[in-house]
Amino acid sequence: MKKWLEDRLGLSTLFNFFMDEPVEGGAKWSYVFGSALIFVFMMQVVSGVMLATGYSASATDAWGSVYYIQHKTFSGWFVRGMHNIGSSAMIVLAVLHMGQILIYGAYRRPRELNWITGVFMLFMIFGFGLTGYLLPWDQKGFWATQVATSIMGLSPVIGEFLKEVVQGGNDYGNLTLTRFYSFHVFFLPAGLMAFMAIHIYLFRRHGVTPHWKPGELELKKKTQPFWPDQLFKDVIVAVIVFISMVVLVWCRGGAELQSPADPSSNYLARPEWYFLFLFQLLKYFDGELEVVGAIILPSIVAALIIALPFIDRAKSRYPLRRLPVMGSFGALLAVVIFLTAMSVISDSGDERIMEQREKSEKMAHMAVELAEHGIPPQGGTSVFQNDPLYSGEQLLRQHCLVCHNFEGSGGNSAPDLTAYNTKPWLVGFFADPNAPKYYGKTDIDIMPEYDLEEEELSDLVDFLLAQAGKGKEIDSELKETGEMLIEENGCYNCHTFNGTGGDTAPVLDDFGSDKWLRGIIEDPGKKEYFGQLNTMPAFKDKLSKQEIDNIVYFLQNKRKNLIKN
Amino acid sequence: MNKQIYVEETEIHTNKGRRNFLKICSVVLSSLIGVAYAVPLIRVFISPALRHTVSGSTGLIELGSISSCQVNVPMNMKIVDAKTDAWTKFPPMEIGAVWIIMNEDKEFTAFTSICPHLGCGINWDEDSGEFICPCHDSFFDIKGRVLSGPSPRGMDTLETEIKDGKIFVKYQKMRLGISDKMPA
Repeated sequence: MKKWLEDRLGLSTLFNFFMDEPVEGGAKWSYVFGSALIFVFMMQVVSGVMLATGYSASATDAWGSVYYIQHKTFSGWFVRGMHNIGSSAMIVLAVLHMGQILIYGAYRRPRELNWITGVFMLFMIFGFGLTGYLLPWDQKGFWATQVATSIMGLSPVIGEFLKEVVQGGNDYGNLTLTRFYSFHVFFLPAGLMAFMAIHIYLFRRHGVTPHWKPGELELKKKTQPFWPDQLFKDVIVAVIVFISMVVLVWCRGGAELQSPADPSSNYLARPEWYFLFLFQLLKYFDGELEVVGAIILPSIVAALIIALPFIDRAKSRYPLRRLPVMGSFGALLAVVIFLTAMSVISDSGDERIMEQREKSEKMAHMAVELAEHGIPPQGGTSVFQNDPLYSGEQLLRQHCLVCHNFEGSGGNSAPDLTAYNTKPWLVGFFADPNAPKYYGKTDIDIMPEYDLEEEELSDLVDFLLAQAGKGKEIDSELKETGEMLIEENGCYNCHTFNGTGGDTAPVLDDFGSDKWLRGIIEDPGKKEYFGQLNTMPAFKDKLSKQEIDNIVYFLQNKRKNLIKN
Repeated sequence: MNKQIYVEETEIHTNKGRRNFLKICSVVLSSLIGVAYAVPLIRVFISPALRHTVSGSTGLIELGSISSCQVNVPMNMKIVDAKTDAWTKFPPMEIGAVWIIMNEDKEFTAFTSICPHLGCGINWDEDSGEFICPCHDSFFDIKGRVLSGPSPRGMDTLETEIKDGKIFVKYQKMRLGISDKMPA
């Protein structure tokens, strides 16, 4: 049976072909980085394929599908977390791999093409990071990637065209996602695998570059086979990398998912950590010079790195004899680390940025909570618009706080809406209706100050507010006292109640109810409300019915919560 | 060629036992990684099969008035329901259709329009007085029984209820291609 299969498949011949590789000078821990990169890449491929089974590349669905992977799919958060941390692992290992090659001088003749294909693969790894980042279509990916494509637009002559090709048209949308998805799962993997094949072929052709010290004879003598001597070390490193990744994912709770991409927000764009140095570099070049920091300088450095095997003409492979090369790369690494650190430090020292970060954290949390009830087909951001609480607050801040004050912010030319229509608010109002907090800054000045006894005032306010409760029967005793107090204090002179009374002040039937509040917002100048003395604009033509409902819902919800506590 | 050389030379400073140990360790450790990683990956992959991904109302859905219904003339009515599809929650929209038939005793029967064979939409052919599935030529009579064709069972009835001149249906998808009627 074994022979039958072997005759047909030739598996052990194939295995020997790949594994029977003499490692001159013996297996070394310093050779593990290449294999570790292949290991992580393979992990990325399988986790990527699994994530693709649940991902939808469309501007309306991407966030929802990633939300679903993260929160509604078994182990989804973990696999997504591994895929996310895998990109960082690739970068770290690639840099270590490069460092080892540099120190050993493994880029030198005849291995120039090993080096060049390797550098291209590093760029592709960055490409993976950049394209993958956008796919969840959350705030972070959306805004950080805008920066990258805008930079592309700065390139001379073809910049604008290039940018539109990459982002799929004049602006971010469905085609940006379908294209980035395609880059991430087809173009880049195909490219990377092709380069990997060439890279490994070239490595096998020229063999490992051993330590610089031992002579040829000694190296030959110490030769060990790749399998199992070197591969064992590679496997140990793979185990360490795997466990570190799992621990990191576990501790961080997987990859973050910010709130859905909202083009109308002013989100603070920050790229992944491995792009921070490029991002920081942009800060040092102003205006016209932008293109220098964004494109010209990085391109020159990239070209120099690629050309390294042709630049380095040192006679010996000893690192100390190649000081200019070692020095320049050391300096380059130092600059990258410095820029990254600068970026982190300047952000963590900026209160405004920390505040925004906190806010976006909250939004992300809320978006996930709202998505629990299903995401409307209009896409991720509509979870907010469909939430009366959130939308109500936004609308209130946008339209009402120009004049009204609310919880410490806003204007002060109209009554304060903090704790509006709660007992303390109304008690304060009766004590001094013309205080600046109430109607003092408006044209309404006809409400007299009432000097009621404490108990009477309490009953009156209780009675008025009891009407706000929908469908609730008002306690008959309270009703009797309330109606009597309204009668006694001459409220009927201005206010209407139960169909009788004046019409120079707001109607008291259903006082403080949703309907009453909605009526005021829609048209406060109506006879039932503030009539001729009104200065508040009518919102019935400015906001949709739904929007007004949301403001009412928000205010009433605030009120109910205050009463509860 | 040079392979020969290294085999000879490496025999000198290593021994077979150590190398076998390394081989076993390598295989065991990499298998462990493989298994550890496969578990969450497989969980992700099969997850949709273990939960309800697409759902609508489970109760009765109102179809509309039955005043225009004629005896033994199937009437096509659309099922309008709010649907949740994985992450998306759709507002009410058409999710399917049923055939409503009133018999001489004013009793109502509802057939789902999904063919029990492979799920195509069944039509009513007025001329022949038969239900026809256009995909694979299954024919059914007005009582939903198979007359001819590949369908393994008759048309699937749905629970109905009449209230205030309106018909309500409990809309359900059935498993296809088997001779027993079973909810999908």
